[in-house]
Parts: sequence; C-alpha cells; structure tokens
Amino acid sequence: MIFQFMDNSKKKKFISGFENFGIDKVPESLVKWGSERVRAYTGDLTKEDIAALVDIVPVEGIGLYVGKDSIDKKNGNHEYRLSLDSVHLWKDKIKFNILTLNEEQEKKWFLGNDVTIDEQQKNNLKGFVVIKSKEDGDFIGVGKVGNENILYNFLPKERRVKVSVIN
Amino acid sequence: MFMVNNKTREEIQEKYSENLKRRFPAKEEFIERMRLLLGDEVKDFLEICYTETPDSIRCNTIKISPEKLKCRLEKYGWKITQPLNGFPEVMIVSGNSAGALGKSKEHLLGYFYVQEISSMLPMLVLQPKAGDALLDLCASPGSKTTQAAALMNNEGTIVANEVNMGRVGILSSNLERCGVTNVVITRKDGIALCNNIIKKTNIKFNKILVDAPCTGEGTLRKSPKTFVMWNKKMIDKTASLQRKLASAALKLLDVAGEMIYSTCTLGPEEDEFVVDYLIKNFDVEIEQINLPLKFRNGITEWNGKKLDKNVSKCLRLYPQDNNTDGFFVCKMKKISDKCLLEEKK
Repeated sequence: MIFQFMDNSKKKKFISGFENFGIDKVPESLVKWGSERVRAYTGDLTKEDIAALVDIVPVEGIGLYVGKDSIDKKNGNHEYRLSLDSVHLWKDKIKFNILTLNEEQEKKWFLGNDVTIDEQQKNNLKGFVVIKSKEDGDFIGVGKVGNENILYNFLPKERRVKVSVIN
Repeated sequence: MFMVNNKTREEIQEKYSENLKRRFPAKEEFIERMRLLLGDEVKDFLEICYTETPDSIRCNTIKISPEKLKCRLEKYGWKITQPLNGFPEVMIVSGNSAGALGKSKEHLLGYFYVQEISSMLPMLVLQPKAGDALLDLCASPGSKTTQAAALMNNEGTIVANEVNMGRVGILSSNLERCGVTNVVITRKDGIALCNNIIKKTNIKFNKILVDAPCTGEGTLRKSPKTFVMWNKKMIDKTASLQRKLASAALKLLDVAGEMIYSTCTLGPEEDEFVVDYLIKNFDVEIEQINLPLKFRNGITEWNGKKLDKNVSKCLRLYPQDNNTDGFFVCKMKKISDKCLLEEKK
C-alpha cells in the first residue's frame, strides 16, 4: 500500500473539509493511505522509522482510519467524509451538522438500512452528517442526507447488527 | 429459577457436557500427561474442560470508563461483576442470551472487547505505559494489542505483527473498532521480522509480547476439537517454533526491556521448557508475577528433566482455578545483549 505522511498544508486542507462539523484542527499526524483514505496516527515511530520498516516488511496499516478525501465524479470537487471511528476520536470537537435519531430510527440505522427522517430532523441539513443517538447521546456513525427526507446509511457492514437480533 | 423447555440451567449444562464428552473424548496419553501435572486434580480439570467459560469482557478505556460501561450493560438486565481487584476494566457478564454481547451497540461501537480473562493476563503483567515502544509479535485477533493501546492511552508505539493475511484483516478490524491510533500493523513471519529489524533499522523496543502460537490445551472449553486433534508430535513441532520466535524477539529487545512469553497451552514443552531454553542461552532475569487471582508456579521438573529453578516464577493457570481457560505467562527482563546462541555458532 502506498502511503504518505501529510505535511501541514495538506493536513490543514483535509481538516478544512470538516469545518462544517466544528473540527478546525486535530493533534494527530495524518497519513494518506492509498488514493483516498486518511488515517490518524499518534505513535512515536517517526516517518523515517516507518520508511525503514516498509523496506523490510509489508506495512498493512498505520493508526486509525478517519476519513476519505475523494473526488466527486459529477462535479470534480473534493468530497470529504468522516469515518465512524473518527467521530469517536474527535467527538469533543464535533458541534454542528449533527442529526439525532430516535430509538426506532436507530434500530434501522444499526441494521444498515437507509432511514426516513422528518423535516424537523432534517433542519436544512444536506450532505454528510454525524449521526447521534437520542437515547444515550452516542455518536453512531456518519450518513448522508439527500434532497428527499432520506438519510443514507454509511455504517460499515462489520459494524451492523445482524437481522436476527432485532425482532 | 432459569428454565428453558422445563429444564434447569444445570440440566442443560449437564447435557451439553455429556454431548461434548461423547463427541470429543480425551486421549489416554493426554490424560496421563495432565495427571502427571495435576495428580488427582486431573478429574476436576477434565470435568471443567467440557463446560463453557463464563462470558468475560474488557472495557475499552480509550472510549468509555468501566463505571459508565457497567451502568449501560446493566440496563439490559445483565449482571456485571468485576472479579479482579484493581482491574475494574475486567468484567464478567451473566444473564445475557447467547450472542447478545457481540451484537450489542456497545460492542459495535468498540466500548468493550469480548476477551477471556486468561487472555488478559499477559498485558496485565506487562503493564505497557504511555511512551513505551511495544512489539506484539503474534498480534491477531488483537485482543492484547487493543488492551495495550488502552493501557498506553494511545501514546507511545505499538507494532502489531501477524504473518497470516486473513488474520491481519481481523486484527485491523478490531483495532479500528477500539479506536487504536498508536499502532503500525506489519505482516511478516515473526522470526524474520525481528531479524530484519535488528539488521536493517534503528527501531528499538522496550517491551515485547510473544503470545506464541501453541497447541491450545488451555482452550479446550472453547474448542473441544483440540481433544481429538491433540498429539505429542504437534507439541514438539510447536515448541521448536516457539523457541525460535522467543529467541528472535529477545535479541531485538532493548537491554533492561521486558518481554512476556505466553501461551494458551499447558504442556511444559511449550511453556517452562521454552523459558528454560531462554535462561540458558540469554542473559535474562525471570520476574515474579503477582496478580489477584489463583494461579500455580511454573514447574521445574518434567519427565526426569530438571529445569532452572527460576522457571518457578512463571504463572501457570488451570481452568479449574478461576473458571477461566488455561494459560501460561512468563515475564523476563533482559540484562545484557549476551547470547550464547551466537557464541555456539
């Protein structure tokens, strides 16, 4: 896997993609992993140490996957998306663009289904939003609100509840 | 009283055990070896091997405190106990239905890790701290790596190595779920990894975990198939690999650094004999282990062969001691770089 530690300007640019959530800076080093993925790293091994490691062994991961920086094919613009685990890592920074789901909606969310939301919930939100549980205040993922009142589900498959659990 | 189809929990458990005994009988040679280790207690050992272990979890303190997690899980009607004094993150769950733990929201969000208590012991003994440089040589599925990251508060460095590609995926997925940020995942045969790091990099480790692949005699409760697959040849073959892995790791370890050698098996060839081999070939000091649970000392004689007396400082855990799996843990400190293996060459 090709990866590169982001310099300050690249890091700033990536993080600016999440200003609408209230995230303005993060303490972790960021690593571009492949063409789109970005990972946050807090380890003490330096870039040089890791480069030396790469020369002798396949490196399969560095730190935590926090988001994507991809190009929207429709308009050529950068599209920045947070990962489920980044909303836990940066939970104290996230203040805006939060969509709260009630208990029934949350069940659908954890099953991996898209969720119908009402106007009040939508509240002019559009694009990627951080999903919050009304029941206990947990951040439970990242979804996308379209033109209709639909929240599109971006919960990774391995983090969904199997159908048999919920009756 | 807990009942299903007019049967009590005890009746269900008894039927489960009888079924397992019929399908996976223990081999005579295995029983004899365990009798040598345990004497008459071998009956208790065999009896418990055909029962299920209690559900145990470890609170992921990177994401939530033990107090908060306990409250949340109790809301499901589950009973949570914290059996190890001084380690509130270690919990036993009862009153939950089968599979409910792994499918709970708290698990999906990485608030806890389903982990057998015996498997938590190596990290409880090693106690990695923020700023340490830790190598987890045989890391998948990641239970001990995620435990280390929590103890280190995501600071310092963990290199988590796993040779098998499929198992790297599982490791990676568990590290993500638990929010581990201070890790570098590598995929290499453990011996080659250590040798290459020494020869070609300046990377140093002050803590290493060698949780070696083993024949799994300690995990018979989880995988009773091991009763059927068990054979002495496999023990000898595995012991040879374990010696090589532990030796390579010890060469890489910093002077004054600490290494844990652990297995989930009970055969002395894979446990105390490996430690004895390390004592005889390296300048190491075996450290006494203190943990708040019942365990035995390492044995110092087996089949007429006497081992170094310091091997008794190791931890030997039988399933019947604490109603867990069986396990072996040795903590050693590297005193100098002296290595007799090199001199012999």
